[in-house]
Amino acid sequence: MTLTNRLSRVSDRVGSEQIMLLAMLSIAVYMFIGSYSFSWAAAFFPRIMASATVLGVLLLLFRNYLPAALKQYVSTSVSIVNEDVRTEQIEEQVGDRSDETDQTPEMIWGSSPGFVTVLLMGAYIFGSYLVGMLWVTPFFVAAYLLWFEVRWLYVAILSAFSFGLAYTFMRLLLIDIDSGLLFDGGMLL
Amino acid sequence: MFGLVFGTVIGMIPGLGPNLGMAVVLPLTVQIEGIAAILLLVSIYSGAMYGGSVAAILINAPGTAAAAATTFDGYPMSRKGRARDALSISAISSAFGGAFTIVILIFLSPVLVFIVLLFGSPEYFLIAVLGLALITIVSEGSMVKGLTAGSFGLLLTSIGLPVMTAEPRYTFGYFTLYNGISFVVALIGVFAIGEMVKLANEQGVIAQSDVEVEGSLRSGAKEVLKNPVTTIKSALIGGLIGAIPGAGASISNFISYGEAMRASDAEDGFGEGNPKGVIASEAANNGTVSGSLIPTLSFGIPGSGSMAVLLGGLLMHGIRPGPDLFTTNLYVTQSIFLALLVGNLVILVAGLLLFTRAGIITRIDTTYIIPIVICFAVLGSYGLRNNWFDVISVFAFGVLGYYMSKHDYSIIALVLGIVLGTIVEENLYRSMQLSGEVPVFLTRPLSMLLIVAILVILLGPVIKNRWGGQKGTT
Repeated sequence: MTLTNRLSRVSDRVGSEQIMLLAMLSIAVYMFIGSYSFSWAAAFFPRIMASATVLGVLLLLFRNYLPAALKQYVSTSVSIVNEDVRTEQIEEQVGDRSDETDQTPEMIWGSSPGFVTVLLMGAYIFGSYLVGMLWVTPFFVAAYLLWFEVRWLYVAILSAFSFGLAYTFMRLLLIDIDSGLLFDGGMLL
Repeated sequence: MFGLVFGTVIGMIPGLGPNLGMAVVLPLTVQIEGIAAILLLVSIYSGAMYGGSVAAILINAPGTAAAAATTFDGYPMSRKGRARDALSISAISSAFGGAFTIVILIFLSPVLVFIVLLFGSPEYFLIAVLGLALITIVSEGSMVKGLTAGSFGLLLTSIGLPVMTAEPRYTFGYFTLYNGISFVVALIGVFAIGEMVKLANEQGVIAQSDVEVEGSLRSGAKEVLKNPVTTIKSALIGGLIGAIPGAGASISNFISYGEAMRASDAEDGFGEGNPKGVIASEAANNGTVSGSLIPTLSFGIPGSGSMAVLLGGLLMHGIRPGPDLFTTNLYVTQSIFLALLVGNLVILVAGLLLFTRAGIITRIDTTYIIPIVICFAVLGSYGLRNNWFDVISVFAFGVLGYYMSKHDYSIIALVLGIVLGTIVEENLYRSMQLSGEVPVFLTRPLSMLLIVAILVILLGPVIKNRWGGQKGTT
């Protein structure tokens, strides 16, 4: 089997759910091992919860390889609400607004609106850390709205509004968001 | 008043909802007094329950999950030129449903006090586990997914200084982490950021054309008065279901609608604009508000996501759920009940006079709202404790909440785990100290009862499947 085929088979099996579960597993395993450096009083709770999390994650990760009865228990929803009534009628009358629920793993890492939102948010937080949230907030709002091709007038209005919002937070909660690592409220550091 | 109006507007915009409205306001309540903060949060919740019906009736898209069943008959009424009738039915039913159940709750309070006083540390620990188990059977997704999410939430609360020792855990030497992960940050991340990412993928405005609001307020009011049994029954259903942890108004409106259908004649035309359908859904979802206060105030087990935020608000202002809320701090509980009672009257007046003319709110493009909500969330998270760890946490929880929701993992279970983690650990530790050779859980009747209930919930699906399989083969 070529490397490309192997990578393709892996990418078919590893979706966002598996990545999320692996992240949870890593954190739980780390915290379980770390609990052995604490005294009993401090260790018992994280050890119990880490064990429960690891067990749950492993069952979910390998559910396709479990015996039939266990697989059914792990996979099947046991909601006491009659989902047929709820989902059918909602989908008939409201329509399925979500276009992303059955997206392939490849689409997640493309230019989906959700991905762009997360990316811009990450840049917003990083920029705020460097320069100050007060100054970066209107740029974030403007960047977001421009990416979604909103009219310039609304971009200007909402950017100004967001600056006012950030200023209100600064005065109300007494937080220093007008300076960052590189910028000190008017002076470059 | 501000809370009611804000909550109603939030509820009217599809894709938002009371969880988000309460979560973004939560950091701002630090500056106001505890009671006022709790009243603000409760008012937002109550307002959003009503607000969701406006979008459901006018544009066939429920503003909140609690108004989903309202679309079945509310929108057809709107299509027949009776939108104003439907909106007035919604306002009156919501107000009655909420007020009626609050009055019942006030009369039930002495009984609640008696029950709550029977609970000790072992029972508080077990009721938290029971709450988590219950959530997994009332929300979508498998039970194992729900329990895993809940365990992960509980695990994350291990970061920082535990209550019973001064030994820092998983802090990497950073003083910032000594206070652990703020549950407010988790609430904001999951309910605000996570929902905005989801909304960004959905995009746009639901209503593509102008909405005609025709009909008569008086005619709508008469319909409610003609159906007192449906109204009262639906309010009671809402209150009862609200008392089940994890259930919430998203379930009660369907069950109430189903019951109204069952109790009616076949010719009643449900789904084609029957006012009883709107009455059933709306009386139930506002009745749920009062019902969900029972587990939240009595045991600290939120009845819904919004109650989880309210619980966060209570804890943030130093108000601990439990017997104190019905004895020493009874004034807090009484204030909440009174605020809800008055709030339902305000919903009635504002709903009839104001929101029947506010259909344009339902047409706001969510593209304009998403970046503003994100700013609210990020600013609020930094404003909580003035540290960047909270900002990074809100981002991480937002992404986690989005993917959990996408793959049918219960975000309510995750949030419940984070909110209750400290309380659970404290009560578990205390119970283990109380235990002798026999664990204390096995020596107290109430604890045994709770253990049986937990086992029934966890093993129920297995037994049900086996039973169903055996019946099929005979």
